[in-house]
Amino acid sequence: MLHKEQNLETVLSEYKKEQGSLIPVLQRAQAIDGYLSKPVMSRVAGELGLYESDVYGVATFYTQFRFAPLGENIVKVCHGTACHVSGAEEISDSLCNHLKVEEGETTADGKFTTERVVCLGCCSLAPVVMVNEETYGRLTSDKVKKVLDKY
Amino acid sequence: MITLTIDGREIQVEEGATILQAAEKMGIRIPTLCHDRRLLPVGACRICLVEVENPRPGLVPACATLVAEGLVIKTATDKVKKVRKTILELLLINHPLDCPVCDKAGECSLQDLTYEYGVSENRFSGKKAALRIDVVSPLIERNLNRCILCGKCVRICDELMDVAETGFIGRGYEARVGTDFDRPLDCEFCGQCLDICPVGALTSRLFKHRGRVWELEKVETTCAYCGLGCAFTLGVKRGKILKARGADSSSINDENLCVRGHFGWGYIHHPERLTKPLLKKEGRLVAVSWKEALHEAVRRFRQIKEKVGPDALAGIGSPRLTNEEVYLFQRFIRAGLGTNNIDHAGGYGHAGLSALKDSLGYPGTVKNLQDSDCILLLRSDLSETHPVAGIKVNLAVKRGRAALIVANPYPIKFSRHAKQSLIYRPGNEIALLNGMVRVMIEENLINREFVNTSTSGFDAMSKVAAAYTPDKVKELTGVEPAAVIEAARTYARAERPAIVISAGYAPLGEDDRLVQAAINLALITGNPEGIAYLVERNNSSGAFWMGAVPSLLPGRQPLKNKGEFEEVWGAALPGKEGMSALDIFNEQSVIRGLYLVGENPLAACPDPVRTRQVLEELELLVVQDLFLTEVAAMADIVFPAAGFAEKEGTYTNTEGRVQEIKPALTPVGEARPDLDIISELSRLMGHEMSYSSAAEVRAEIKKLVPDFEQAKAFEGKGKLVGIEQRDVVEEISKDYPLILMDGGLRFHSGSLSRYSSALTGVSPEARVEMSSLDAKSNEIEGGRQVKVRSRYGETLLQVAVNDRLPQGRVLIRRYPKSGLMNLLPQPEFKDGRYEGKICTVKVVKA
Ligand code: SF4
Ligand code: SF4
Ligand code: SF4
Ligand code: FES
Ligand code: FES
Repeated sequence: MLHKEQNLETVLSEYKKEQGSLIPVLQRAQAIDGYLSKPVMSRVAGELGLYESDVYGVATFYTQFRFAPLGENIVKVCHGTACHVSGAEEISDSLCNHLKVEEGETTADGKFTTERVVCLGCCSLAPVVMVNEETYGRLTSDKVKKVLDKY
Repeated sequence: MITLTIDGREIQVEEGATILQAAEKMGIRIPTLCHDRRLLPVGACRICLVEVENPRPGLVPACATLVAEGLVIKTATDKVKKVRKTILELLLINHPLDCPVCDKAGECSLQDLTYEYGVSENRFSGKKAALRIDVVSPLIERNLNRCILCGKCVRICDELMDVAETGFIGRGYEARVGTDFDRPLDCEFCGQCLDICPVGALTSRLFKHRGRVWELEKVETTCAYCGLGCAFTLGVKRGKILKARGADSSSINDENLCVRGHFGWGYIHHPERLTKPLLKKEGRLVAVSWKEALHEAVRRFRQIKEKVGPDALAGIGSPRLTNEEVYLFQRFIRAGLGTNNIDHAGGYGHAGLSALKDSLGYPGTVKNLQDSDCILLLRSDLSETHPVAGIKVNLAVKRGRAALIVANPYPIKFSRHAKQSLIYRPGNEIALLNGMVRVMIEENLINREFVNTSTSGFDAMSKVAAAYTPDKVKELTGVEPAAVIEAARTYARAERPAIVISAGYAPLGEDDRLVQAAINLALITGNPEGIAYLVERNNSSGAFWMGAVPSLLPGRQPLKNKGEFEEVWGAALPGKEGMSALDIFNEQSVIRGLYLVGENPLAACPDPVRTRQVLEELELLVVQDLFLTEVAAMADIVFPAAGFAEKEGTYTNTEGRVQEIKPALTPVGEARPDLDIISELSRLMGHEMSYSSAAEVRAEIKKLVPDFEQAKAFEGKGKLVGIEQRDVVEEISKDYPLILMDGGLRFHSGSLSRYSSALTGVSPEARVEMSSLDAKSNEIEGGRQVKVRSRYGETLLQVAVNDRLPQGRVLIRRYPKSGLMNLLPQPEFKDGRYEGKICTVKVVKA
């Protein structure tokens, strides 16, 4: 904990009061814990002379930022055009019901984090889900549950 | 001026105006959703699109497009109507259409426009939002499913309030307005966002399911909390106030309100309101008829008067009363009882008013604040004491780029925008001001011409100021010499500088000297209209002006002018100067019978132990109030009085504006307006008074006080008076190592706010704030109970560690029951005046 805090302080000291430095600061702050917590964002706001609501607003505008710790495994559900027409919505629903989370959330046991992405670059396999670095294609609502069982 | 044509008619408007403003001037209505006069235009919703015919045909948003010479505009063509209709359809895609249960119905812009443009079906469809309704935040319910993302709530909270509690979260279809991590609101609860929201996304919990907007009777009246006197409209249904909304763009508040005005009126319906006169029989207060209570009061006033003389009687009124009531009250005390022993408890706290009157000729003004290019915020924690004046400062600083100098003994909300933040040793404001005056004279930054033509006393004043060298100022205030010099230069070089001082903070009784020192600064630079002295209560100015003071008659006329009053009142008046509230509660008090109207000296005067003793020793105590306050519980006779919404009359605000209040309700139970009670009492006492309305009383006042409506501006003659900094801080010793500072709190004001559940519900518990260093060295942790002890008393409070507080000082805000008064010394009587001190305390673990 102490170590991480020091890291945030280093990041902040580098950018202190520099105009327009919010995004790089948030990126580096996120790199410390893997997500942006409330205390981290308040510190960032205080240090850069911004309001907390501004910082939170900017952070939530970009999909690259997360506000809860990541699970052990990241499940990315593709919602690109090809996957969308092949039923990505159903895959998402089935996955979320199975894991009892909303899209973008982490399961209670911390095992999975779901994420919505666009086009993973293998449209011929649509609908596609990627778990960590592994890609699974031609999925159905049932098959996707089986995929998860492997983890 | 620019000439343009709208809907076939020509109009001339000023450069920089928008098409919308030009159209409004002609009485042409253009619908808006994201626009508000008070905010910077963003042009986000596009409902205000109008058609440009010349020069370049097309559609432009009226709210965000500036007028140009020769522009030809049409506001209601078929094309315009079609586009507006489409915009509404798009907004309605994900709007829940729960209008039948929505509290905004009746004043919802979306509903009204949907009706107006005949949107009965929607060509588009999409997912309706399903966000959780915020049922946790106090006072404000947020149902963001109804939000149309106009952004007005976000902007008013940022631009005017400088709170920025909420922002836009996420993006695209998922974008919404919210707090970080969706926590409940934890803000100033001004309710500004709620009033500005064009739809039912933000609604008041106090109004929830209590009625429909169109059922409300609207009463335009004046807020009865602080001295700004904001104009507001009460929404009343079946004898209950359900709503308040800022009104009147021409008044001081420009439609804005703070939490007290918006939500704080509920005390008027509090179940503990007094509904019947009470009389003490065998040691207990029992309900009696008005007749019995009044006759008993008269019998016993008479008894004391005959036995000991009229000067054994006294009356203390309240700066909460109307002008008419204060006037009648002092007339009763003087002509009915026969004594000048009359005061109002806050009186000595507002001595600054007399300095303004005597040296500037008018009570100062808040009006120009927003257009100032430099503001010296002196001992003014405005977001707590006068939040609506704080809005003006925010606007001047954030929008107008005014240079802000915050001079306060502890950092305040405005410090974040300050060009300079001068944290001085409490009570040493005068040294700071004198230091600035000296720099200005030394560096020839003063306006000689103005000094020569419009002021007197310059030489004597500058002699006093000359002693306040930067080094001496540093020694007294702790402020660095360079900072004083910079502040003086910034102020002197500004074109329209303003000084803001809030009234009534420690050391008590010093405000006239403080204000005079500020007047010196304003006058030598030729800025007599840049001074705002903000009084604490709704009618502090009126109480002062209407003669609720022992030495002066209404209109501040000396007692020797009493002849004219005797004539009108038909009675002989006492010529001997009376006793002040401080004399009355002094150890040598000779008062035997006391009449208190709307005042609770146990909460308002320092040293409550001493005060209680005096009260206990009285032969007769008559109290007139809304509630059975601590002091009313000690009374022999209690008269139940009407509250601000149950009576008529006027309040005079801090700028000297006389503003009307109108009855929205009939008084609860048998309670009566103070005006009635006082005149009846007087009549029974043998001093005839009969008025059928407040207006009649006012007519009489105007006869005796020609300048009842005081001067609103500087009239060309100002006085410079040298003022020395007194040593006002008690000795710092091992036993009392910390300086006690008192501060305002936006959720409370005097004793009424504690009967408002809306306000007590959002106000934190009473606390003492300490710096982390002091907390550490005293081994005290935040959140713990501690005893704060002064030479005069002690109080038990929770500690809040405040890292921004300077070491060696603690801060107690004016929470009800903070016990602050227990700690403060009685002002000492010296050289013909009372002098307060700032006390030192010790904080120990409880
Ligand atoms: S109540 Fe006032 S401070 Fe709170 S969010 Fe609304 S506008 Fe901002
Ligand atoms: S909550 Fe109301 S004021 Fe705020 S953005 Fe939504 S519609 Fe506009
Ligand atoms: S600023 Fe004062 S007068 Fe205005 S609403 Fe608040 S308490 Fe009332
Ligand atoms: S659309 Fe899903 S992989 Fe391209
Ligand atoms: S009102 Fe003009 S764009 Fe919204």
